Amino acid sequence: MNEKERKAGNEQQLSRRDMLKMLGGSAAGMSMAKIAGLGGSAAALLQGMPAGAQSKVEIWTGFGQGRMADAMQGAIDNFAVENPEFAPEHIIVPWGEIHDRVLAATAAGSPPDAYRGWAWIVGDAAIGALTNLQPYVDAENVDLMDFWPATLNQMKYQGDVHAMSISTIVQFMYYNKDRMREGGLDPDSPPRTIAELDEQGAVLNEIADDGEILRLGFAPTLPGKQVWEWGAAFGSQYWDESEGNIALDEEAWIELLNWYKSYGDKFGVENLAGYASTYGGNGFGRNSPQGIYYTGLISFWVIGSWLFNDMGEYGPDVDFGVIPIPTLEGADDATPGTSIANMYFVPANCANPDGGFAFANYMSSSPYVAVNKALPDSVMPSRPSLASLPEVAEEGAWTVLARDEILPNTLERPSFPGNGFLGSALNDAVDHVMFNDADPAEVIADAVARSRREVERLRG
Amino acid sequence: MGVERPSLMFKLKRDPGSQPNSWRTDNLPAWGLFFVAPWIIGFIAFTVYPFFASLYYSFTNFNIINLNPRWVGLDNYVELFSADPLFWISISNSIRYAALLLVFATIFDIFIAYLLSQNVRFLSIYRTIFFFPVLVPVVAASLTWIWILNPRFGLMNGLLDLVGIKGPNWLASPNTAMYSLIFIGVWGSGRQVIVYLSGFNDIPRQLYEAADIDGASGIQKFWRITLPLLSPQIFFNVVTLIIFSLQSFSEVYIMTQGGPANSTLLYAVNLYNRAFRDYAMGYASALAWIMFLLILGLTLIIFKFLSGKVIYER
Repeated sequence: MNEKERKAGNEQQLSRRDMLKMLGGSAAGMSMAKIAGLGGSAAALLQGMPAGAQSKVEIWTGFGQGRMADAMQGAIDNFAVENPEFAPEHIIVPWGEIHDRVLAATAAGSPPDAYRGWAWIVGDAAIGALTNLQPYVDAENVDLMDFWPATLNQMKYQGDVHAMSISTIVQFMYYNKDRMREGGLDPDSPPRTIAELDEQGAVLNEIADDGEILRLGFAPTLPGKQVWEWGAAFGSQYWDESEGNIALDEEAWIELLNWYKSYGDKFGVENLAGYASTYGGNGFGRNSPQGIYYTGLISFWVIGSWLFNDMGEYGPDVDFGVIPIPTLEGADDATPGTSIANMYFVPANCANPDGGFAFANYMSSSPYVAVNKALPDSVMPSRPSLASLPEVAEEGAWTVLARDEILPNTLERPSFPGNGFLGSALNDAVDHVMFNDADPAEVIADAVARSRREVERLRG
Repeated sequence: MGVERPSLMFKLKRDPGSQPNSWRTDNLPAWGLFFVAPWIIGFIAFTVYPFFASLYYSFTNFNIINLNPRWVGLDNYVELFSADPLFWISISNSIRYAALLLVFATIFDIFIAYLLSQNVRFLSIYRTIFFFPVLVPVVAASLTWIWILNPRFGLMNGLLDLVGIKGPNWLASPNTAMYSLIFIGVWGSGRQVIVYLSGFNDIPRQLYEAADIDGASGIQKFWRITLPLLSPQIFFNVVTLIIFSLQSFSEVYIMTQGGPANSTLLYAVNLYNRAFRDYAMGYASALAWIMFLLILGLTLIIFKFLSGKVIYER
C-alpha cells in the first residue's frame, strides 16, 4: 500500500476535520452546561449585573422534598436577597450519603462551599476535612456567647469554631397520657427521676403469660439504647477538654450498665429484643399511623424534639406530653441528656470559603431562618436571642420547656474525633452486659481504652 | 483433506495487497488495544492501583482527606492481632458463617439438583423457582426476609405457630441470628444448584445401568458413581462458596448490621465500619489484606487437599 492509499484509508476512518468538529461541538456543549450550572449567577447576568459581581456558593443539603424542602429553598432565596454578592446554588444529596459524599469530594478537591450536617461531624476537623471558621468569626465579630453552651461546645474543635449551628435538637422524654390514665397514673405527674420512671413504667407494662411483651411501659433500650442520653442523665461526662481525650465517669457507667441489665433481667433480654425487632422497622413506624408512638405500644420513651412533626401528622389524636429526661436525683441542675446541634460546615479547600461562611453564618443568625426553618422542623434555634422571639413561644409549650429548662443544662452530644467509635463501643458494652452477662466494670474500661486509642489514631 | 486453515491475521499479514482494506489490517493490534483501552484503564485505575495502594496504606495511619499518610510500620497489624476484640469476633463469625453455609448449602444444593435432574413434569418451572432467588436484588431480598422473620407478624413464625411451635426472635437473638443468615444464604444458593444440575446431567446413564445389573444399592450408586463424577462441580462450588461467604456483606449489613451483641459481625462488616464509619483507612486496609491472605490460604489448602481427588475424566 502506497502513501496515497494509506492517506485515503485514514480519511475513511476519521478525518482531522471531523475530529475538530467533534471537539468543537464538545467544547460548546460543555460551555453551555457550565453556564446552565451557574444557576443564580446566570440569572444575575440576565438581570444586568456586571459579570463577576456575584460568586457562586454551592450548598449541599438533604432537604429534597416536602415542607422542609420548601422552607430550605425559602431560606436560600432570602439569603440571596440579603446577600446579593453571592449566588447560592442548592444541591440536594440524600441525608444518608451527604457526609460520605462531602468527604469524598473534599478528598478529590471539589467539595461544596457549605453543607448541612450534625454535631458529630465536627470531629472531621481532626482529619483536616473542615475549614477553621474562627478567623471569619473574629472578623465578623460573631457573638459566640449567644449560643446555648452545649451547642457552642459542639461548634468547636480544639477551641476554634469549625461550624455554625442553625438549630439544636432537644432530647425529651415523651409520655402517653392516655396510657397513664389507663394504668391509674396521674398524667400531670410524670416521672422526674430514674426511680420514678422505673416505677411508673412497670405499672404500664402488659406481659403475656409466656413473658412476651404485649405493650411496653418503659425500657431504656427502646426505641434505641440512647447511650449518650442516659450516660449524661446518670452523671457522666464524655470528654476532658484539658486533657484532650475521652473521659467517662466509669462509676456512673457501671451504675448505668447495671440499670440496663436490670431491664434485661426483668423482661428477659430475648423478650425485649423480640419486641424491638417486631416493631423496630422503619424507625419504629415513625412515618406510619401504626408506629409504636401513636398506638400506645410504648408509654415512655426518649427521642428528639423532631418527633413533634411526626406526632402531629401520624398521631394527631394521641394525648402526649414531654418532660426533661429523668435523672438519678431529679435535681434542677442535673443534666437532662444531651442536645444535638444541627450545623452548617465549610469543607476544607472549597472553592468559595467566604461564601460558605457567609451562608453558614446567615443560617445561624437570621430571625427569618429561626422562625421559618428551624421551628417548623421542630428544633430550637441555637441562639438564645432567637429562641426569645415571640414566635418561638407561640410554637408550643415544648419550646418554652426546651428553652428554659433543658438547653441551659444539657451536655453536648460528643463531637470530638472518634465520637462515632465511642458510641459504637458503648452500644456494644450495653449488649455485652445484657446478653452475655459481662462485668460492667470490665466492658466499660475496655470501651474507654479502645476509644482513646482511636482518638490517638485520628490525631495522626 | 487435512488442509490447515490459516488464521485471518496470518493471512492478512502475509498477503496484505490482496485485501482491498488492507490498511486496517496492518493496525489490527493497535486498534484492538484502542478498543479495549477503556477496560484496561479502568482495570488499572480501579483494581490494580487500589490493590497495591491498599497494601501501602495498611502500613500507614491514613484517612481519606490527608494525602500524606503517616508510616506506622506494622502497628496496624500488631493492633489487629493483639488489641482489637472485634477483629477476633468478626473473623470467628466469618469462619463459622462460611463453614456452616458451605456444609448446609452443599448438601441442600446437591439434593435439590438431584431432584431437578429427574424427569418429571413442570421441570422447567421447578428449576426456575430454585434459581429465582439469584435474580432478586440483595436489598429487596433482605428487606423481605426481615419481614418474613419478624418475631410476631412474620410468615415464618406464623407457620410455626400453626403447628404449635413458638418461633424464636430469628434476627434479634444472638442465639439464632447467625443461623438465620445461613438459612437465607442457603435459600440464595441457586447458582450452585445450576452447576450441580449440569454435573448430574453429565453423568453417563450407562454407569447407573451397569450398577443396577451388578445389584448396587442406591447408596452405593451415590457414593461410587454420583459423588465421584460430581466432584468437579463440588470442587468448584466449594472454592467459590468459601470465597463469597467470607466476603459476605450486603445482606448482613441490611438485616442485622452485625448485631445483636456482635453475633453476626462478619469480617466484611467490621472492615466497612472501620473504613467508612471511623475513616481509619490504614487500619481497614490492614484488615482487607488479612482477609485476602486468609482467603488465599484457604483456597490454596483446598486446592492442595481436594484437587487430587477430583475426577475430571469420564
